[in-house]
Amino acid sequence: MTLQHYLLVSAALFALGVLGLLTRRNAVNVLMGIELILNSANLNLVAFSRYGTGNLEGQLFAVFVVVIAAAEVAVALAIVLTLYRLRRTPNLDEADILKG
Amino acid sequence: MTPPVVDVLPAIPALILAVTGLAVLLAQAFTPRGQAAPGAPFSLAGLLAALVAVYLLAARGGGDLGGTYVVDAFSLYFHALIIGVGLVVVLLSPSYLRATGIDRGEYYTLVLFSLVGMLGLVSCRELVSLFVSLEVMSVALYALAGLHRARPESQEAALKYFITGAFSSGFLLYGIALLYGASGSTSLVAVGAALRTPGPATAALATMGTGLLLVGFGFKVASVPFHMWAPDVYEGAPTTITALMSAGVKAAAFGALLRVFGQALPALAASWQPAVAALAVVTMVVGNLGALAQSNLKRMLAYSSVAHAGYLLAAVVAAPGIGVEAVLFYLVAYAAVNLGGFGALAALARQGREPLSLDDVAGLASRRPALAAALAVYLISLTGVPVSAGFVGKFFLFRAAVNAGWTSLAVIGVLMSVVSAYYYLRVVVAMYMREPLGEDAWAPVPPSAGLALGLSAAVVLALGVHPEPVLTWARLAARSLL
Amino acid sequence: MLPPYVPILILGGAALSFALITLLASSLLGKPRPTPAKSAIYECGVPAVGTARERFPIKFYLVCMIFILLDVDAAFLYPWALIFRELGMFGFIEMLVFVGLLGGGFVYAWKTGALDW
Repeated sequence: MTLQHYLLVSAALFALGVLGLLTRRNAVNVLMGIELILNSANLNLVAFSRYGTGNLEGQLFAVFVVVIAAAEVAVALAIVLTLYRLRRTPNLDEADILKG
Repeated sequence: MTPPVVDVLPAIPALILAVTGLAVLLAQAFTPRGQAAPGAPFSLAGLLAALVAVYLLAARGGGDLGGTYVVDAFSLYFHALIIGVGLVVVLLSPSYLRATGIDRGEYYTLVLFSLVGMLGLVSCRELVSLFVSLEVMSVALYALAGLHRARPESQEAALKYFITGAFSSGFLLYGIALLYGASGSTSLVAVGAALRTPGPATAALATMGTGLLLVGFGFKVASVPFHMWAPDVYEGAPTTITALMSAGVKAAAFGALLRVFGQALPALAASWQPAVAALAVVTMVVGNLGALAQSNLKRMLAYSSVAHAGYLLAAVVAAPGIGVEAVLFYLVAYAAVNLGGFGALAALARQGREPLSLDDVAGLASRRPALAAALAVYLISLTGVPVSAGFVGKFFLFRAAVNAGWTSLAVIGVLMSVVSAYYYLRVVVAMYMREPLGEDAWAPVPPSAGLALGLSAAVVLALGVHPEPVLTWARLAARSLL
Repeated sequence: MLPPYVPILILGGAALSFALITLLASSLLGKPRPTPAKSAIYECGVPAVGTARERFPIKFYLVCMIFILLDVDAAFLYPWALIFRELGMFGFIEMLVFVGLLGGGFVYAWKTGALDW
């Protein structure tokens, strides 16, 4: 295992996350895409910290990102739920009142 | 190992706001169900205390919290601006919240928390704390955008804001990770030093990282092509929150952008300057053309906010140097104008409705002469007519672009300002030249909102007539960034 | 002389094989002949009201999210505890501030009834 392996996996995760975000209709799936993006960056941070830079800042950063991701998802789920209560759908393309 | 010596004083203003926010939250928890805690007085007291703390910090010459959170002239300038924005928003809020039925203490808590994030965003000299600040600001704003739980528009705005916001945070984080990999540090100064002598591999990583950072910041400041969320979110969010977003978030995001690109990435200027210039051009053009097509005033102001991100980016290209001070000055003028514009709409809200179309504001000058005059001042300043803050600000922005050799940017900016006159002045014409339609459906201007609007109008006029004090301060702040 | 833990291992093996042999024997020797009386709830069991793959009431989401948030924030306590002595008084006060902010949020959740069901 070298740094390159980790970077490749991370890039693949990032691409999957972006793909999920752009193609999925269900809001919960989109949230999963966002999690994938954040965690791909996390993987990068930890891999750089272990193989590249030789300091621990990256690993420390990863802990912060995990906590922030949890807070983000808590707020996001609350929003998805209230929207679901009002519109009875978790699908993003049906949230289309605002346009122009 | 000896315990680190840490100077905690620089964090005091942010701490005051955080503790005030928590106090409001707990006050709401201990208030009987269905009643609102007195959030506005609490928040005003906290904001004023934070302002005093900023003044004392300035008198002390700033400070440095372990190299991560730095209060220099640059962040002091933004501290004053952001706390000022917070004061105006809190003054505008009580009447609007009552008129729309969302009067809850949590509103003020979230506003204060988002202000804490903004303060951090302009003060962090290290990428971990920068990212944490960004998220503190953003998460609070996602919740605020969706505060109106019974209105589908508000929920939709919150969801769209969250998805684009989280998307952009992801890009930003990935870019930060690549920069960390390229330089081996998360401190902006160390990153800057490491990138001055890059190897071939690190150069590639750093360029990719810079690109991703630019995309992330592009979303946050609402520059084209990353602007599509702005009109929807600005329209659907509670109007006072729209004011906070357009004034506060834009200022904080530009502050962070200037600091990161100025301190960590000057070595890569040759690769990011053309990209920023391209963003500036499309943002100015698309923002202004988009605003032309709008009939909803909130959406029109949203596109205008996109367009202004373009004018500001034109001067960012010219940074460091005269560009930074031009951006700093314009952010104050722009914040005052947007707080006033959205604030005027919010002040008229009654029973969940607020003026949103040209018909709604027709003949406003005869019914609310003072408010109409203030709104006219803001719109004239947005256009950039002389003797307003907008004119002076745009003059410095475009002069910075010309001095840095980007004359074409300035030319496009001026042309687009001329185009913008059409949609701004259309509102003024409706207020002054048309007869009012139907009954007077709007609320009388509440005293606290009147104070906030008067304050904004005074700032706009004062900066237009006598810009030197703020300009001197902006110059001082810009110098501390170098 | 056996090592001291071998008897326990033998006991465990015997218990496991007894259970396995019983299950195996009953499936080999007997044929399942279900009757309504046999499939009825045994003794004081409660009649089933649906499948286990039921959707959960939404209020559990709230409790779950509050748990996750507080739990994830505890991640910061471990590195802090590791260098607690080196950090000295400053680290202690800083952690008090952090836990105080979290605690404030928790009190809010508690008082507003987010934890009730």
